[in-house]
This record gives sequence, structure tokens and C-alpha cells, in this order.
Amino acid sequence: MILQAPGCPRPHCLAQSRRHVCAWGLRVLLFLICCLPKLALAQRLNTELSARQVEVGETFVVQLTTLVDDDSAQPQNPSLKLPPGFVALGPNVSTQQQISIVNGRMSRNYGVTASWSVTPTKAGRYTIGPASIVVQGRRLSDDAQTLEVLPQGALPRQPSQPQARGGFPQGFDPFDPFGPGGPFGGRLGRPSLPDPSLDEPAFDPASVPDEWRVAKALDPLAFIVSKASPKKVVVGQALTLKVFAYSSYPAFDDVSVTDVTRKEFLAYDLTRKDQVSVRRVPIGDQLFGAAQIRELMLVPLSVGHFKVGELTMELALISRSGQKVVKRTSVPADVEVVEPPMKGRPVGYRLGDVGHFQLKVEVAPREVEAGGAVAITAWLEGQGNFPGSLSIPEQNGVEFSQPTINEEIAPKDGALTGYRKFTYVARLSKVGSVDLGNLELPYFNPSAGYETASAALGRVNVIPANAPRTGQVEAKPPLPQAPPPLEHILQLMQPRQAILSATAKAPELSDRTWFFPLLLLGPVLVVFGQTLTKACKALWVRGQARKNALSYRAQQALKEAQGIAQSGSLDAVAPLERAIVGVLEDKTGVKARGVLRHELVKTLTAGGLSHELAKGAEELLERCDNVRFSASSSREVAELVTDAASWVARVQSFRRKGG
Amino acid sequence: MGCLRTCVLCLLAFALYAPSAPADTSREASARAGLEALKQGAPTKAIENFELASDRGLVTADLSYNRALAYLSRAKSPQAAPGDLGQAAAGLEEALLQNPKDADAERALDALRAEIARLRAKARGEALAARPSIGRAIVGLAPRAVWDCLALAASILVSLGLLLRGAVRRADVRLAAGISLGLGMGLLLLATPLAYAARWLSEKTEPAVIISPEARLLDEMGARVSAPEAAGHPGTIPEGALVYVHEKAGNLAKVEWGATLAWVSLRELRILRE
Repeated sequence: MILQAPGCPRPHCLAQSRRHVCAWGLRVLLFLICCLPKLALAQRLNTELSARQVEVGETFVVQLTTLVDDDSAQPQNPSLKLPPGFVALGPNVSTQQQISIVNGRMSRNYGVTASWSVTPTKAGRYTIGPASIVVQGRRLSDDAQTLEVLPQGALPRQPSQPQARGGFPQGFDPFDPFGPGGPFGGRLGRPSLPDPSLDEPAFDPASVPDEWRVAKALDPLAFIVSKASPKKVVVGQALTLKVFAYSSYPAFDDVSVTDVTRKEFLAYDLTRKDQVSVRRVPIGDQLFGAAQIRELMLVPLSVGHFKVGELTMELALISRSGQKVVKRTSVPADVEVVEPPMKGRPVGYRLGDVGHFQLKVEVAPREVEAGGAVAITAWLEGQGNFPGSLSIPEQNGVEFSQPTINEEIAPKDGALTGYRKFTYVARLSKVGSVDLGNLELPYFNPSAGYETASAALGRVNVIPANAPRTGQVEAKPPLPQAPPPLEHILQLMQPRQAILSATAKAPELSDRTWFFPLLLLGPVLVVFGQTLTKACKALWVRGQARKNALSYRAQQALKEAQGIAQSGSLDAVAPLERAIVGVLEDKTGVKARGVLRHELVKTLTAGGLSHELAKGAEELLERCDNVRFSASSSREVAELVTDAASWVARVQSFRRKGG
Repeated sequence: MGCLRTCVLCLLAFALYAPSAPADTSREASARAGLEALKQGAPTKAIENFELASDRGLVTADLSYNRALAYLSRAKSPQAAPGDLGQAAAGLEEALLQNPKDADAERALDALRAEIARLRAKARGEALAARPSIGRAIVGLAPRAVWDCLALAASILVSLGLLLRGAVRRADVRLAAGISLGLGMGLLLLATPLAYAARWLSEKTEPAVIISPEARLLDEMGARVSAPEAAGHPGTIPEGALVYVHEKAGNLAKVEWGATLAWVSLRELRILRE
């Protein structure tokens, strides 16, 4: 029997206890295996705030520094967790390397610093972070930091001291990438965010160069302007194009930018990546921050009016209350490109040869056998648009090869400066002392007009080629070959002498303005003439018919009677009677002469005439008879004619019922 | 009084003549210098002088011919520049434009075109030729003067026919008038549009020759025309090809080449002077 003291573990209890210890041991081991490297790495993370107390709207910097071993992958994707109401700019990432040698053993560490510029918009106590970064595929986080945000003006004003923005030491401002201590070269040299706590040097508006000035702000927030100088150039003359960005915000930076438009121009980028020109420019009554974002030297290739320097840029406008990204397109510059003047243009001048050049030559050797060659080296030095070739002195017996060109040309002082070397080989076939002539380059100098750079090549002594040695087999003459095609064409052509006699080309018939109207004019005139003839004929016929009409004849008879009555003759009665009878016949169709007088009224009334007018007709005819058969005075005749005329007028204006 | 008037007239004549005299003299001197250089075997100098004379306004058929000869001479020398053959073709075309009866120029131009086609076929495996558009082909069946005269004759025939039909009652005369009228109308309807089209083409389009090794077909924005749009050809016009400029915009020219209408760079063209 096994006795067991009280409290002594029983065998099964012991085994259980051992298992328990093993399990814990395993757990601790697993924990150490999993977490120790992390702990080791985590110890190398460090988060710093540039200030623990800031005012609303005041920017402070959060900086996360990570140190990793040589073998580790470089940390990447830094991230910062921020409470609502905070605006962050960044991160800006910089790297550093640390090498330490201890007991002859070297160790190397890499450091990555990620910085955020953070601006609070609300007062309160906040937790900033944690900031984290990916190392070896795992995201590691550092401890969160606390920050107190006070209302504006709550913090005591610090005395002025040479301290960089955000509390970082002088020369290290991660948000001024263009500053002297900046870890990386930014794209746009934005003007620094002015710190009201710093005493800025007094701004002198007169110190702003003219090219930076603009008459008025094209946009209250930001705008971009391109400026060309000079604005009128000749083909080949270089001009400088500068693009300036302006912003009314305290600071700005570029987010993206397109290329500058410069069609029909050869461009040389003069923008200095390491030094961005930034200054303050007064526009109206406001002070703008301005940066020169591009500088190009352009060489125009053709004549015309051009707009150059258009680019689109996204600008981040930064203020204490945050940042805003705006997109702006620059106002292009107008450039007029003209040809150099025709007056005084030298022979051989090629469009685009502009500048100021000197020409130096070297010829070697000075004596060759016929058929041999000399080397001619020409250096064209100066400033301007260097030509691709020189004017060579061609002549019979001297054949120049195409030149080999070497050059050393670079933009300098607003023009291409340097030299271009042309190397020719001239084959000489004419025996004797041959004057090679001059190499020349006519060019246009914008400040002095046309000039010619010239260099004399001098004389070369061409001696006869050695005759074949004795015993040497004379070379067979080459077999006659068909002339090359161009030679064949040249054989068809001979220079013509009458180059000044222009054959005046007579203008074509259809070039004259009257030609096409004339084509239609003939037929139209004929048709018109025929139509006119027909119309005249019709008018004549109509006139004749009218003359035969009763009313017309009555009117004529009445006029005749009136004429006779004026002379006091009694003969007026006859035409008067004709007029009355004619009118009656015209109106009623009744031939009044064939009707008995006492039946006349009745007949006429039946014919449609009113009783009154019928009665008037009877009376007038009666009176005519009286005048004719009794001795009447001329006065009575005149009255009769007047009455008759009145009656005729009334009858002619009378309309029969239903007629 | 008479003496004073003579003096004034002399002064006026001098004032009018004096400015133009140096220009005339210099361009003639340039042309002569070019001719001398051509004879001395200096084609580049000859070209420079001929071009200067041309720039100063001297336009003659023989000057164009000599310029073509100078370019051709340079094309076979080591100084040959790209486009020399095109310039030579342009000179010969210009000479023919000014004197269409110049058989030598015509023969030389044919030979030159054949040589350019041969070189192109050798270099690129293709000899590109373009047929003229239908309109230009029909108008080009006869010289402009022929269409003009035909139109004028047709107009006279129509007028005569109308006149006789209206004026004379005799049956045989009326028959003749009817025939004249019908014939005239037909001819008028045919010849007048052709005369007008010939005038329009002459006025609105300028003949030009491609003076670069090949001119790329572009769209109106200056971008190269893609192959499907170029409809069956490689999108270039060969050197020396005769084209007609319809329109110019900036540094581009809208040209008619065969049935193709496209834009090319003005630098690749030489517009011919008439």
C-alpha cells in the first residue's frame, strides 16, 4: 500500500502538472518566436511631433523614423492615422544610412523618415497616430501621440529666432523640399509659408524684375503666364520662353504638369532642376507668390504667328487651413516669326541661318597628284542657329565630298554657342596650281543685318600622276558603259541663254469677267428681241382695235365737236350727234338713228339705260336738230356741246343693271 | 513754263523708275551669275543665284529650266541634297507651265519622273503613281482655250438658231435653224461647265511639286493620316509628284494628288509660278 503524505501530488496529478508546464513553455516559446523580431523592429520605430501644443490652423509636423538592418527590405508605404478635423500633407519620405564599426565588425543600418505636415481645424485634445510603415511585408505601428489643440491666440507668442517652420531645426524642413536642407529636390520651388512669428525682411516692389510682373491677376487664386522674349524674331533666331506660376496663397506646389506647347520650334530646356526661381510679385494691391516653372530657348523653324508656352498644371495651394488642388492652363505667349528682309540678302543665304559666326579653315596637304584629294577642315564658331552646311567653292576639276560634321554647341546667354566643324575631302583632277576659292556662310545677324563669314582655302599644287613604270602592264581602258540615268537626262538638257526673256502668257478667254455672261447674252438678246417684237405687234393690234371701239369713237367725236364749237361754227352739231349716238350704242346696243324719236326713251330704257339719261339723250338730239335747222347763235351751240359733254360723261360712268 | 514742266516730268519719271531699277538689275545679275556658275560646273552656286533671281520676282521659262538643270547637276554630284530631284522636277514643270510647247522640258521631265520612280521602286519596292481625279481628267482632255472657244461657238450657234427660227418662215431655213439650235444647246451645256471648271481649277488650285524625298499625308491638325484613311496607299506622296494645292493653313497645305485629298507640310512643296 502506498502512503501518501497529505499535500503530496498524486502520480496522475504530477503527470497532469508536467503537461501543464510543457504547454505553457510551448506557448511562451511560440510567443518569443513570433513576437521577438517584431519587438526588435518595433523598438526601431520612432514617432515625433514637432509640438505638443498648437493653435487651430497652425501646422505641425509628425515624423516617423524607421531603422532597418542591411539585409532587410526598405520600409515603404508609411501611413498616419488622424482624427477627424485634421488636414495632412505628405508624407515626404527621406532615407539615410548609418554605418557603425564595433570591435572591427561593421554593421549597416538604413533609416527611412516619413513626415506629414498636419494642420488642425478644431480645438481639443487628440490622439495622433499611430504612424505605421510596411517592413518586410508586415505593417508595423508605433505608439500614438497626444496633442493639445488650443484656440487661436491661446498660445504665448514665441520670440523671433532663426528657426525653421514647424519647430524643426534650421535647414531641416521636410515640407520645404526646395530649402537648403531639404531631403529631396522638388519640382516646383514654392514660396515658403510665411510664419507670422518671423520678422520678414522688408519687401521692395522695385526689386521685382519686369519679366515677373503682370498687369493684373488673371485669377484670384492662381494663374500661369508664359512670356516670350523677344516677341518678333526671324526664322532661326532664338528666343527665350519663360513660364511663371502665380498664386495668392501663402504657398503652393505642383502636383502635375504637362509639356509646353512649342510646335514649329526647336526647343532647348534651360530650366535648372536644382535651382527654382521663386519670388513675391505685387499685382494690383495684392502680393502674389510666383515661381518660374519653365525656361526654354526656342528656335523658330518657319514663318508665321504662333502661340507658344501653353501648359496645364495642377497646383496644390497651401494655407494654414489646409490645401486645395486647382488645375490651371497657362496663357500662351504670342510670337511672330518673319523672314529676314529681302533687301540686301546675299546669294546663297538660307532661311534659318541667323546669328554671328566666324569661319576658320585648314587645308592639308598643299600638294597632291592629279586625282588625289586634300582634307579641308572648317570651324564655324559663334552664336546662333548653326547651319548644316557651308557654301563650297565648286569649280571644274575640284569635287567636294559631303562634309563630316562634329560640333560642340550648347545654350548659353540666350543663344546656342559653340562651334561646328565641317571636314571635306576635295578631289583634284586638274593639273597645276589650283585656287580652291573661299568657303562661305552668308547669315543674318539681327543686330547688324546680313553678313558673310568667309575663309580662303588658298592654292593647292596639283602635280601630274606618275606614269606607269617600265615593264608594268598598262591597264586596259575600261569598257564603255551606259551612262547613269541622271547623266542621260543631263545630256538631254543644255543651259539656256535667254533667261531674261519672259514669254507673256495671254490670259484665257474665260479669265475675263464678261466671258460667261456673254455666253448667255447672245441667246438671251435674241429671245428678248423676239419677245419685244411680238409685244410691240400685240400693242399695235390692240391700239387699232381700241381705235375702232364705239366709246373711243364717241370720245373722238365729242372732242371734235368741242373744238369746232370753240370757233363758233354750227358744224359742231354733226360730230356731237355722232358722239351721242355712239355712246348710246356702246352702252345699250341701240342704234339711236334707226329709232323714232318718240320711242327713243322707251327703247333706251329697255336697253338698260336709266330713264333720266334716256330722256337727256332725247333732249340733246332734239336740241341738235333745232340748232341744225334754225338759226342759232354760237353761244347756244357752245351750251349744247357743254351739256352733251356732261351727259356723255354721266352715261359713260353709268352702269347698267346686271352689267 | 515749258521747261519747268519738263523738269517736273523728268523728276517724276526718275522717282517712279529709280526704286525699281536696282531690283531689276540685281535679279538679272543673279540670273546671269547663275548661268555662268552652271557653265563652270558649280551647280550649288548656280542654284543659289537662280533661286535669288526667282525670289526677286524674275519668272521666265528658261530660268526655271536652267534651275532644273542646276538641281539635276547637283543631284549627281557628291553635294547632292535630299529633294534635288524634286526641285529639278519642279523647275521643269514650271518651265512647261510657262511654255507648254517646250518639248525639251517635257522630254526631260518624263525621263526624270521615270528615274525617280525607278529609284523609289528600288528603295521601297514600289513605284507609286497617281491617276488624276475624274473631274481634272475630263477638264484636262483639252486646253482651257478649247473649252472657252467651244462655249463661245455654242453660244453663237444657239443665238443664230433662235434668230432664224423667229425671223424666217421658210421651211428649209427653219430646219437649219432648228439643227443649229439643238447643236448649239448641246455644245453649250457641255462646254460651259467644262470651261467654268477649268477656270475654277486654275483659279482655286495652285500646281506644286513635292520636293522632299516623300511627303507624308497629314490630317488638318498635322497628325499623320493612318493607313486605313489613306485608302490603299502607304500615306506618302513621292518626290517630284505634281499636286494641286487647294488650301493653306499655317504650315500645312491641302493638296490634291490623284484622287487623294490630304494635307502635307508646306516645306515639302514647291508651288509653281505661272
